[in-house]
Amino acid sequence: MNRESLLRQIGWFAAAVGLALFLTVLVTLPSGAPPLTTIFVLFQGGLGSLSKFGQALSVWVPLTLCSVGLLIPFTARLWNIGVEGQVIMGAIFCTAALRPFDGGGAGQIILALAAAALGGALWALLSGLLRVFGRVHEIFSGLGLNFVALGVILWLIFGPWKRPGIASMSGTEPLDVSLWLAKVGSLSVTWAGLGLALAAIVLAAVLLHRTGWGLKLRAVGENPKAATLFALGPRRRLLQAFLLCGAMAGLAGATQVLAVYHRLLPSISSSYGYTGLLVGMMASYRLGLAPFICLFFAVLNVGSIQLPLQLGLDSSLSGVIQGVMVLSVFIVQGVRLWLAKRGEAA
Amino acid sequence: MKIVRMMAALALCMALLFALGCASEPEKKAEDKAPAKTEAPAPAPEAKQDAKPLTMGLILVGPYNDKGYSQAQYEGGKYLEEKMGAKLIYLDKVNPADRPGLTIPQVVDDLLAKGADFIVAGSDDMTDGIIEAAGQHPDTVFVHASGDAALTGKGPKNLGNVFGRMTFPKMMAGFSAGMTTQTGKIGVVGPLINAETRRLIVSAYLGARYAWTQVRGKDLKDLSFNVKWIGFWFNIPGVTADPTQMAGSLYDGGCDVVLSGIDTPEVVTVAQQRRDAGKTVWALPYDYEKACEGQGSVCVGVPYFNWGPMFLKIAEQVKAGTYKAVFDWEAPYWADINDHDKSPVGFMPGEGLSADNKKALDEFVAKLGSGELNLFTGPLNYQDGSVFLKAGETATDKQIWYLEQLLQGMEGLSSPK
Amino acid sequence: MIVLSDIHKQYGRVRANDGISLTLEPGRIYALVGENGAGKSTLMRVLAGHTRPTSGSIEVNGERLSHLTPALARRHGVGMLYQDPLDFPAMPVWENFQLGAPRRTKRQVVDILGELSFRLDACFLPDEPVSSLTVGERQLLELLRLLDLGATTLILDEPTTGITPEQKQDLFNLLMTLAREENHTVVLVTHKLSEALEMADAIFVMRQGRLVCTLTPPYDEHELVSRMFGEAARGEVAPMPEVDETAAPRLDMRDVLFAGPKYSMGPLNFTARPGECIGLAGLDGSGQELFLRGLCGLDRMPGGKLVLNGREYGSNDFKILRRAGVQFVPADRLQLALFPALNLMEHITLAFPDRKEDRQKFYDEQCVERFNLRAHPDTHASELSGGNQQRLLLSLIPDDAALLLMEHPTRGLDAGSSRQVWNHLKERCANGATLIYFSPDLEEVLEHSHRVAVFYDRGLAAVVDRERATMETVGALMAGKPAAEVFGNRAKAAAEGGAR
Repeated sequence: MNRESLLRQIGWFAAAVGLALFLTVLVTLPSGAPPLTTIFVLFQGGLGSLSKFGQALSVWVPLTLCSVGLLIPFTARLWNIGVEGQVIMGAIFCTAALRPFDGGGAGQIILALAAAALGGALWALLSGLLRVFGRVHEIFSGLGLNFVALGVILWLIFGPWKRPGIASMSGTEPLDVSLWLAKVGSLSVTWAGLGLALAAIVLAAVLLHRTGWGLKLRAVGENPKAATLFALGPRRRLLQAFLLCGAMAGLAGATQVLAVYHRLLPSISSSYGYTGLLVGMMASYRLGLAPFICLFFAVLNVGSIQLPLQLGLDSSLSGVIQGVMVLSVFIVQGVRLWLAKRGEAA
Repeated sequence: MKIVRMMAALALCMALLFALGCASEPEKKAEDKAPAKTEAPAPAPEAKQDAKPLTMGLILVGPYNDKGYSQAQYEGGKYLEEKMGAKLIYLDKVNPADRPGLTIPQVVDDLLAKGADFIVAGSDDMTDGIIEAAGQHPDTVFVHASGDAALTGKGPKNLGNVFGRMTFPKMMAGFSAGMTTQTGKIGVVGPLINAETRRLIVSAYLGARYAWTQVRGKDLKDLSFNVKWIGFWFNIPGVTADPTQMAGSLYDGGCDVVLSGIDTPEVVTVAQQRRDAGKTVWALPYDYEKACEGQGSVCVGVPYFNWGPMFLKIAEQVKAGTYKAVFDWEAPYWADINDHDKSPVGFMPGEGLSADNKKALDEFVAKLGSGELNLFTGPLNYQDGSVFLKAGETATDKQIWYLEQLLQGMEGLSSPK
Repeated sequence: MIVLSDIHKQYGRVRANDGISLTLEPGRIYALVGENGAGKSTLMRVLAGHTRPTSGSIEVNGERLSHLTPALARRHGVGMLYQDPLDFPAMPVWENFQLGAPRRTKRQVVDILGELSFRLDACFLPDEPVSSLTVGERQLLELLRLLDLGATTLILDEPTTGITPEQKQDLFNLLMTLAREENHTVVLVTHKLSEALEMADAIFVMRQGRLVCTLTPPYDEHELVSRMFGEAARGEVAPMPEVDETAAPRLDMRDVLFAGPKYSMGPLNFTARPGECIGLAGLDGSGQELFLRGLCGLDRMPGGKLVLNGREYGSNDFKILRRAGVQFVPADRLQLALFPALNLMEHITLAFPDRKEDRQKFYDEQCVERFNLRAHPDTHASELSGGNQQRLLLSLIPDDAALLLMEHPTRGLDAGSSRQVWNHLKERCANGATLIYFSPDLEEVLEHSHRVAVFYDRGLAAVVDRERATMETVGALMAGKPAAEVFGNRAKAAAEGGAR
């Protein structure tokens, strides 16, 4: 069951795509939008030109950092829903590290990245400690900490870090250009961002599939009680998983600050943490799929502004189409499970 | 094995995109051609300007149909289409919460690619982004509504600012409130605290004070003017304070007139509820000319933007190639502040303004328009007691634009904690 | 009269029932025996209407049906008593009794309950919560409920698990009354041959989904065993290993207190020598579970001292004790001891990180050769049979483990696997390990123990040596009779001497 043939996987994937198309047609027809054109414009908007692809990649970077990070605690069956707050904390720590500097270079940027990783990791550690020692489920603590992180960032932006005399959602004073991450040619995506995302994928792949640490983490997730019997130190492993995920989420926050917005603003996370959770679920928590699904989301995200621009459609339609596609994947997965179950029962 | 699977997934993605492309390509072409004909091919720099209508690229912070700030700008763009035969392309909800990951330079790139000849950014929030974008496209005219880059000199040469002098309609709103109140207690539900909002609320206060002391002849001590900030232009549950609660607490605290400084109409709704419960209360919404319609006698009037004339002026200058990037702060058209073709800002009285008070308001407007009355005249003190204007001194535009604090006599925070 | 003809039930490729035909007549007691996985439960579920057979037919009271539903089964008087009684512990006796019955007032219910209890020689307080009853009493209540609902065919699934020998006798007497005097049909599903031999008018023997034979008295035990287990029945049971009486004690517990999540016990004083097999006997929740979990460090030890191989431990840290050679094997292997979705190799890597490089060799030597674990190394633990799971667990215990603590070592294993497990454990004891285990099957405890520690009411009631440990004495101790009464005064002294 766990090793299905490639052909069948592709078949199921095609089924999901077919269903998604069908549902999209159903959903878009009443709004008067031409369904296929709408989808085409969406993808064209994200992939149509090199610069669009660059934009999509700049969304892909933080999204991938989040969803790859999430796979690590999930290996231990932990739902680090607090990833959203960890992105925010990463962004806050990143900004904090740069506040003393008016300008700078690689040194300051590396410092900021390290601070961001630290910030995210510490925030994740809170969730972890509550889970391991306080027996608070990480979903509840994570949600709570997301709100706290949002509170902190709002307080900072409207309080101590506000621009002189002004408190507004537009965020803090922008960073000096010397502190921005270097772009790939004229594209929006940065070298450092791409590097971080790829490094995260490789790191997660090696850690989870090539090391004893990954095996132990899986074991802890499979059966914490047995992990105690095997003296695998389940608590320590859970905390480590949280820390790693938090660090990656923090880096995602840093790329938002250093590469996208060049300042701290209240919605700095762009909800990539939550989207990352969705990606993880769609990928059934397989590392091999996650980056591609992230790309898919990134393309949709970038393409969505073409709906109002080109077709005069309300851009929330792209959210609907995105939702329909996610839903189709889940429906197809559900049908697949149901068939498998029925096959066993018959 | 893993690599094979990844490759396969990648291939599938590509195949999917191709399939989508092929499936809808012909349709799309047909679709595109129809409007393209009227539009004429965009990429033809040598083609005469006249062949192609002037195109304005408008960036809206909220939904184009928000019955508030963004809708006013959107209708300004529509006005331009109507009057000049220009074309409007716009993107709404451009803020990091609604469109994660989207930056102003990206939007500008898209608008330019769609043929925009000049760009108007609608909100204070876009300051940094529009400066960056203007720097990237030095040959295009950029106009930032509500910004001040041209005043401070921070922005590049091709970035101008335009804004209506909302201070005057706000004074009228304050005046109407001061005339209407029976308890002498006026409340304000304010958005976030910055120079713009301080400026506007102080204007309202000055209007109310004038009505209370000069027209009604009452003691200034009996006038209370209480400002409560929610933290943003509209309610974001969990992030901002709830404007419904804020308005409610102001009414409960004895205020019988509450002015709204935010983009959404909660204050009027609350007033309506209090009315239904038998209380004598009034409200003044903001931003949208028709906000009082259908609200009955609870609504005293609404100060609003009318961007059409401003956009038209800019567009004509851009077309003629004479636009200069300046800081343009436009006064109302005093002959008729509600003239759609002339006045950039206005005040539309509602049913809640009695006939007598309306007459007083008209006199007040006339005095303001003639320059006989300047409410920003000293002696005026800041909230902390320091001197803003000495006796007889009048404020400069810069002093008003960058107003540092609320004034003495007003309750509420002058700056964020 | 119920006639099952040619019942087939397939789950995927597994044939749980493969063409079974049998007849149940009123007034008779039947035993359905077979190893785990022989298809007994499936067959009974078909009869109770919970499972729809793939093919075949059921004739009830002259009516021919392709399958039964629970409602239909009830209407035809089929009632099933599950191994774990399906009652609601928080509700009082009378409400549990009323479940599923037509609407009645409490007074009526209490009257009927009283009448039934009187007729069947039972006693219930209607307002008592079910949670305060023993397993045996709960079973009896369930039985009364089924009778009240009009059951004339009673199916009892392993009814003697977890009850005392005395309660078992009462239950059997009751069943006998029901069959002989009230003309009910009784089907006893069991894997204990002694019960079948004692009670049944006819024994159905199932093996690998088939009904291999129907035996009638006089029974030949050997025939029954070989029919049930096939080839696996043949094999030697290893003798009890010798214990060196002079050796220093492996374990010495001095005034030890244990505290679990639900209750605490102690002070306990107990010693065990190398090579000794010690069985713990007791009804569910009498303290034997806490004893084992406390000893290995999974539950707290708030007081006392443990001396292990001469070294004194003031606290029972799991990791420290594990390093000192204490190994714990829980009964619920998949829930507590194995990682369901990890494969065999991964288990080996986890248990012996230093053998990571030659784990294939380790697997061949340890799992395959020594433990006869016949499964592909990539198999997930959840896909293993119960026997293979236990083999895997045993192979993961290092050879130098000094103190083995096991919960029900043969739970869910067939006779062949059980014997193999016991032979292995005895071999470890012969090599100097000490085994402390408990089993709900008293026969098993008596058969494989040098000494039996009996627990009652969350305390160590007595320690009985092999000679004195019989069904009667241990059964009486488990039910709470003081040791003095069971053995007489002198014997009591001897028993307590054992406890020192």
